[in-house]
Amino acid sequence: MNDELAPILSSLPEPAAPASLTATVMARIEREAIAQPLGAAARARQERSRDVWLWITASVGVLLVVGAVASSWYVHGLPDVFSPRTVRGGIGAGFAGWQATIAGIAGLILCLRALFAPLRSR
Amino acid sequence: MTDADRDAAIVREAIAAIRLGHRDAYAGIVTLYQRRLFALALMMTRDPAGAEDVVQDGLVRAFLHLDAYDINRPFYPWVSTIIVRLAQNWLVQRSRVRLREGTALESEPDAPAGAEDALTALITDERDRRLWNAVSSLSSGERTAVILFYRQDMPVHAIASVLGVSTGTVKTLLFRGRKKLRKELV
Repeated sequence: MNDELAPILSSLPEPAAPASLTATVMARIEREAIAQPLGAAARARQERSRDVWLWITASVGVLLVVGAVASSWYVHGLPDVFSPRTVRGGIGAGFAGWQATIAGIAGLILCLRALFAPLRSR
Repeated sequence: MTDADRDAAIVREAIAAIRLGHRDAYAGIVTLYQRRLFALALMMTRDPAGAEDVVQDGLVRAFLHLDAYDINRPFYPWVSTIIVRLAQNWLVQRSRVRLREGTALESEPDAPAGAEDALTALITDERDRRLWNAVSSLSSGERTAVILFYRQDMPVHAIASVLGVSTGTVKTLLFRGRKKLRKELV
Protein backbone atom coordinates (compact mmCIF):
# COMPACT_ATOMS: atom_id res chain seq x y z
CA MET A 1 0.00 0.00 0.00
CA ASN A 2 1.36 3.37 -0.98
CA ASP A 3 1.23 5.50 2.15
CA GLU A 4 1.41 9.05 0.81
CA LEU A 5 0.94 10.42 4.30
CA ALA A 6 4.08 8.78 5.71
CA PRO A 7 6.55 11.55 4.69
CA ILE A 8 4.12 14.23 5.93
CA LEU A 9 3.39 12.57 9.27
CA SER A 10 7.03 11.69 9.89
CA SER A 11 7.66 15.45 10.02
CA LEU A 12 5.07 15.95 12.77
CA PRO A 13 6.69 18.48 15.11
CA GLU A 14 7.95 17.43 18.53
CA PRO A 15 7.69 20.49 20.77
CA ALA A 16 10.46 20.90 23.29
CA ALA A 17 9.65 19.84 26.81
CA PRO A 18 9.72 22.57 29.48
CA ALA A 19 13.32 23.51 30.32
CA SER A 20 12.80 22.75 34.02
CA LEU A 21 11.43 19.24 33.44
CA THR A 22 14.63 17.33 34.19
CA ALA A 23 15.34 19.34 37.33
CA THR A 24 11.75 18.94 38.55
CA VAL A 25 11.75 15.19 37.96
CA MET A 26 15.10 14.72 39.74
CA ALA A 27 13.93 16.84 42.69
CA ARG A 28 10.78 14.73 43.02
CA ILE A 29 12.82 11.56 42.80
CA GLU A 30 15.06 12.75 45.63
CA ARG A 31 12.00 13.37 47.80
CA GLU A 32 10.27 10.11 46.89
CA ALA A 33 13.43 8.02 47.05
CA ILE A 34 13.95 9.12 50.63
CA ALA A 35 10.39 8.15 51.46
CA GLN A 36 10.47 4.93 49.44
CA PRO A 37 13.98 3.51 48.81
CA LEU A 38 14.76 1.86 45.49
CA GLY A 39 13.68 -1.73 45.55
CA ALA A 40 10.85 -1.16 48.01
CA ALA A 41 8.31 -1.71 45.23
CA ALA A 42 10.00 -5.00 44.34
CA ARG A 43 10.02 -6.12 47.98
CA ALA A 44 6.34 -5.24 48.32
CA ARG A 45 5.55 -7.31 45.22
CA GLN A 46 7.55 -10.24 46.57
CA GLU A 47 5.68 -10.09 49.87
CA ARG A 48 2.33 -10.01 48.11
CA SER A 49 3.38 -12.99 45.99
CA ARG A 50 4.50 -14.85 49.13
CA ASP A 51 1.15 -14.10 50.80
CA VAL A 52 -0.72 -15.52 47.81
CA TRP A 53 1.33 -18.74 48.04
CA LEU A 54 0.66 -18.99 51.77
CA TRP A 55 -3.07 -18.75 51.14
CA ILE A 56 -2.85 -21.38 48.41
CA THR A 57 -0.86 -23.69 50.73
CA ALA A 58 -3.35 -23.25 53.55
CA SER A 59 -6.30 -23.83 51.20
CA VAL A 60 -4.78 -27.03 49.82
CA GLY A 61 -4.15 -28.19 53.40
CA VAL A 62 -7.75 -27.53 54.39
CA LEU A 63 -9.03 -29.30 51.29
CA LEU A 64 -6.87 -32.35 52.03
CA VAL A 65 -8.12 -32.56 55.62
CA VAL A 66 -11.75 -32.04 54.62
CA GLY A 67 -11.38 -34.58 51.81
CA ALA A 68 -9.85 -37.14 54.16
CA VAL A 69 -12.57 -36.68 56.78
CA ALA A 70 -15.34 -36.64 54.16
CA SER A 71 -14.02 -39.86 52.64
CA SER A 72 -14.18 -41.47 56.07
CA TRP A 73 -17.73 -40.31 56.62
CA TYR A 74 -18.62 -41.63 53.19
CA VAL A 75 -17.20 -45.04 54.02
CA HIS A 76 -18.20 -45.34 57.65
CA GLY A 77 -21.06 -42.91 57.94
CA LEU A 78 -21.15 -39.87 60.20
CA PRO A 79 -19.31 -40.49 63.50
CA ASP A 80 -21.03 -40.47 66.83
CA VAL A 81 -19.05 -37.75 68.56
CA PHE A 82 -20.19 -38.92 71.96
CA SER A 83 -19.01 -42.45 71.42
CA PRO A 84 -16.03 -43.44 73.61
CA ARG A 85 -14.55 -45.24 70.59
CA THR A 86 -14.40 -41.98 68.61
CA VAL A 87 -12.81 -40.14 71.53
CA ARG A 88 -10.20 -42.88 72.19
CA GLY A 89 -9.41 -43.32 68.46
CA GLY A 90 -8.32 -39.69 68.19
CA ILE A 91 -7.12 -38.47 64.85
CA GLY A 92 -6.87 -41.91 63.28
CA ALA A 93 -10.53 -42.60 63.97
CA GLY A 94 -11.47 -39.68 61.74
CA PHE A 95 -9.96 -41.17 58.55
CA ALA A 96 -10.77 -44.18 56.44
CA GLY A 97 -7.69 -46.05 55.35
CA TRP A 98 -4.02 -45.15 55.34
CA GLN A 99 -4.31 -42.99 52.23
CA ALA A 100 -6.87 -40.73 53.82
CA THR A 101 -4.80 -40.64 57.03
CA ILE A 102 -1.69 -39.53 55.13
CA ALA A 103 -3.72 -36.97 53.19
CA GLY A 104 -5.23 -35.64 56.39
CA ILE A 105 -1.86 -35.40 58.16
CA ALA A 106 -0.28 -33.76 55.08
CA GLY A 107 -3.15 -31.27 54.99
CA LEU A 108 -2.64 -30.43 58.68
CA ILE A 109 1.10 -29.93 58.12
CA LEU A 110 0.44 -27.62 55.16
CA CYS A 111 -2.04 -25.59 57.20
CA LEU A 112 0.42 -25.26 60.09
CA ARG A 113 3.24 -24.27 57.73
CA ALA A 114 1.11 -21.57 56.18
CA LEU A 115 -0.07 -20.38 59.57
CA PHE A 116 3.42 -20.05 61.06
CA ALA A 117 5.31 -18.94 57.91
CA PRO A 118 5.05 -15.22 58.73
CA LEU A 119 6.62 -15.90 62.15
CA ARG A 120 9.46 -17.91 60.62
CA SER A 121 10.31 -15.18 58.16
CA ARG A 122 10.84 -12.55 60.87
CA MET B 1 26.17 2.39 15.75
CA THR B 2 22.55 3.42 15.13
CA ASP B 3 20.65 5.97 17.23
CA ALA B 4 18.67 3.16 18.82
CA ASP B 5 21.89 1.32 19.79
CA ARG B 6 23.37 4.51 21.23
CA ASP B 7 20.22 5.21 23.23
CA ALA B 8 20.18 1.63 24.52
CA ALA B 9 23.81 1.95 25.63
CA ILE B 10 23.05 5.21 27.48
CA VAL B 11 20.08 3.59 29.23
CA ARG B 12 22.08 0.48 30.22
CA GLU B 13 24.91 2.56 31.68
CA ALA B 14 22.51 4.83 33.54
CA ILE B 15 20.54 1.93 35.01
CA ALA B 16 23.72 0.16 36.07
CA ALA B 17 24.79 3.34 37.90
CA ILE B 18 21.34 3.78 39.46
CA ARG B 19 21.40 0.22 40.77
CA LEU B 20 24.69 1.05 42.46
CA GLY B 21 22.97 3.93 44.21
CA HIS B 22 23.76 6.85 41.86
CA ARG B 23 20.25 8.25 41.45
CA ASP B 24 21.48 11.30 39.53
CA ALA B 25 22.34 9.04 36.58
CA TYR B 26 18.62 8.99 35.83
CA ALA B 27 18.89 12.60 34.61
CA GLY B 28 20.61 11.23 31.49
CA ILE B 29 17.58 9.05 30.70
CA VAL B 30 15.18 11.94 31.35
CA THR B 31 17.13 14.24 29.03
CA LEU B 32 17.27 11.56 26.34
CA TYR B 33 13.53 10.86 26.22
CA GLN B 34 11.79 13.95 27.56
CA ARG B 35 11.09 15.53 24.18
CA ARG B 36 9.51 12.40 22.72
CA LEU B 37 7.52 11.72 25.86
CA PHE B 38 6.32 15.32 26.08
CA ALA B 39 5.21 15.25 22.42
CA LEU B 40 3.34 11.99 23.05
CA ALA B 41 1.67 13.32 26.20
CA LEU B 42 0.83 16.63 24.52
CA MET B 43 -0.76 14.84 21.56
CA MET B 44 -2.88 12.77 23.94
CA THR B 45 -3.92 15.47 26.42
CA ARG B 46 -3.90 18.44 23.99
CA ASP B 47 -2.97 20.57 27.02
CA PRO B 48 0.67 21.64 27.61
CA ALA B 49 0.23 21.93 31.39
CA GLY B 50 -1.46 18.55 31.55
CA ALA B 51 1.23 17.02 29.35
CA GLU B 52 3.94 18.37 31.65
CA ASP B 53 2.25 16.87 34.71
CA VAL B 54 1.80 13.53 32.95
CA VAL B 55 5.44 13.36 31.84
CA GLN B 56 6.73 14.35 35.27
CA ASP B 57 4.57 11.75 37.03
CA GLY B 58 5.45 9.14 34.41
CA LEU B 59 9.21 9.64 34.66
CA VAL B 60 9.11 9.56 38.47
CA ARG B 61 7.01 6.44 38.40
CA ALA B 62 9.37 4.82 35.89
CA PHE B 63 12.31 5.51 38.23
CA LEU B 64 10.51 4.03 41.24
CA HIS B 65 9.71 0.88 39.23
CA LEU B 66 13.05 0.47 37.46
CA ASP B 67 13.44 -2.93 39.09
CA ALA B 68 10.49 -4.09 36.93
CA TYR B 69 12.21 -2.98 33.70
CA ASP B 70 13.90 -5.72 31.64
CA ILE B 71 17.20 -4.22 30.54
CA ASN B 72 17.27 -6.46 27.46
CA ARG B 73 14.18 -4.78 26.04
CA PRO B 74 13.95 -1.25 24.55
CA PHE B 75 13.33 1.40 27.20
CA TYR B 76 11.12 3.79 25.26
CA PRO B 77 8.11 1.43 24.75
CA TRP B 78 8.24 0.57 28.45
CA VAL B 79 8.26 4.17 29.69
CA SER B 80 5.75 5.31 27.05
CA THR B 81 3.31 2.67 28.34
CA ILE B 82 3.40 4.46 31.69
CA ILE B 83 2.92 7.86 30.02
CA VAL B 84 0.00 6.62 27.90
CA ARG B 85 -1.79 5.17 30.96
CA LEU B 86 -1.32 8.40 32.91
CA ALA B 87 -2.52 10.48 29.96
CA GLN B 88 -5.59 8.28 29.61
CA ASN B 89 -6.32 8.73 33.33
CA TRP B 90 -5.85 12.46 32.93
CA LEU B 91 -8.39 12.53 30.06
CA VAL B 92 -10.89 10.50 32.10
CA GLN B 93 -10.45 12.79 35.14
CA ARG B 94 -11.04 15.87 33.00
CA SER B 95 -14.18 14.31 31.51
CA ARG B 96 -15.48 13.75 35.04
CA VAL B 97 -14.72 17.35 36.00
CA ARG B 98 -16.62 18.60 32.95
CA LEU B 99 -19.54 16.33 33.79
CA ARG B 100 -19.62 17.67 37.37
CA GLU B 101 -19.47 21.20 36.01
CA GLY B 102 -22.56 20.49 33.95
CA THR B 103 -21.05 20.78 30.49
CA ALA B 104 -22.44 18.39 27.90
CA LEU B 105 -21.09 14.87 28.04
CA GLU B 106 -18.99 14.24 24.95
CA SER B 107 -17.11 11.14 23.94
CA GLU B 108 -13.90 13.08 24.45
CA PRO B 109 -13.41 16.54 25.88
CA ASP B 110 -12.15 19.34 23.66
CA ALA B 111 -8.78 20.85 24.33
CA PRO B 112 -9.06 23.27 27.25
CA ALA B 113 -9.42 26.99 26.72
CA GLY B 114 -6.02 28.65 26.48
CA ALA B 115 -4.30 25.50 25.26
CA GLU B 116 -4.33 26.85 21.70
CA ASP B 117 -2.31 29.89 22.80
CA ALA B 118 0.11 27.69 24.72
CA LEU B 119 0.47 25.44 21.69
CA THR B 120 1.20 28.43 19.47
CA ALA B 121 4.08 29.29 21.77
CA LEU B 122 5.40 25.71 21.55
CA ILE B 123 5.00 25.26 17.77
CA THR B 124 5.80 28.55 16.11
CA ASP B 125 5.83 27.41 12.48
CA GLU B 126 2.33 27.72 11.04
CA ARG B 127 2.67 24.74 8.72
CA ASP B 128 3.83 22.56 11.63
CA ARG B 129 0.97 23.83 13.76
CA ARG B 130 -1.55 23.01 11.01
CA LEU B 131 -0.15 19.48 10.80
CA TRP B 132 -0.22 19.13 14.60
CA ASN B 133 -3.81 20.38 14.80
CA ALA B 134 -4.89 18.00 12.05
CA VAL B 135 -3.50 15.00 13.93
CA SER B 136 -4.75 16.19 17.33
CA SER B 137 -8.30 16.43 15.93
CA LEU B 138 -8.35 12.62 15.64
CA SER B 139 -9.71 10.45 18.43
CA SER B 140 -7.38 9.70 21.35
CA GLY B 141 -6.47 6.21 20.15
CA GLU B 142 -5.98 7.30 16.54
CA ARG B 143 -3.72 10.23 17.31
CA THR B 144 -1.67 8.20 19.79
CA ALA B 145 -1.17 5.44 17.23
CA VAL B 146 -0.30 7.96 14.50
CA ILE B 147 2.36 9.79 16.53
CA LEU B 148 3.92 6.56 17.81
CA PHE B 149 4.00 4.91 14.38
CA TYR B 150 4.85 7.75 12.03
CA ARG B 151 6.81 10.18 14.17
CA GLN B 152 8.40 7.93 16.78
CA ASP B 153 8.96 4.88 14.51
CA MET B 154 7.44 2.41 16.91
CA PRO B 155 6.44 -0.91 15.31
CA VAL B 156 2.80 -1.97 15.38
CA HIS B 157 3.30 -4.78 17.91
CA ALA B 158 5.04 -2.37 20.33
CA ILE B 159 2.23 0.20 19.92
CA ALA B 160 -0.26 -2.58 20.68
CA SER B 161 1.60 -3.34 23.89
CA VAL B 162 1.77 0.35 24.87
CA LEU B 163 -1.95 0.88 24.24
CA GLY B 164 -2.97 -2.48 25.70
CA VAL B 165 -4.82 -3.55 22.54
CA SER B 166 -4.30 -6.08 19.75
CA THR B 167 -2.17 -5.40 16.66
CA GLY B 168 -5.37 -5.57 14.61
CA THR B 169 -6.82 -2.72 16.64
CA VAL B 170 -3.66 -0.64 16.10
CA LYS B 171 -3.89 -1.21 12.35
CA THR B 172 -7.54 -0.18 12.43
CA LEU B 173 -6.67 2.99 14.38
CA LEU B 174 -3.93 3.85 11.86
CA PHE B 175 -6.24 3.13 8.93
CA ARG B 176 -8.98 5.36 10.32
CA GLY B 177 -6.49 8.08 11.20
CA ARG B 178 -5.02 8.08 7.69
CA LYS B 179 -8.47 8.18 6.14
CA LYS B 180 -9.43 11.29 8.12
CA LEU B 181 -6.06 12.98 7.63
CA ARG B 182 -6.03 12.36 3.88
CA LYS B 183 -8.93 14.78 3.49
CA GLU B 184 -7.06 17.53 5.33
CA LEU B 185 -3.46 17.04 4.36
CA VAL B 186 -3.34 15.63 0.83
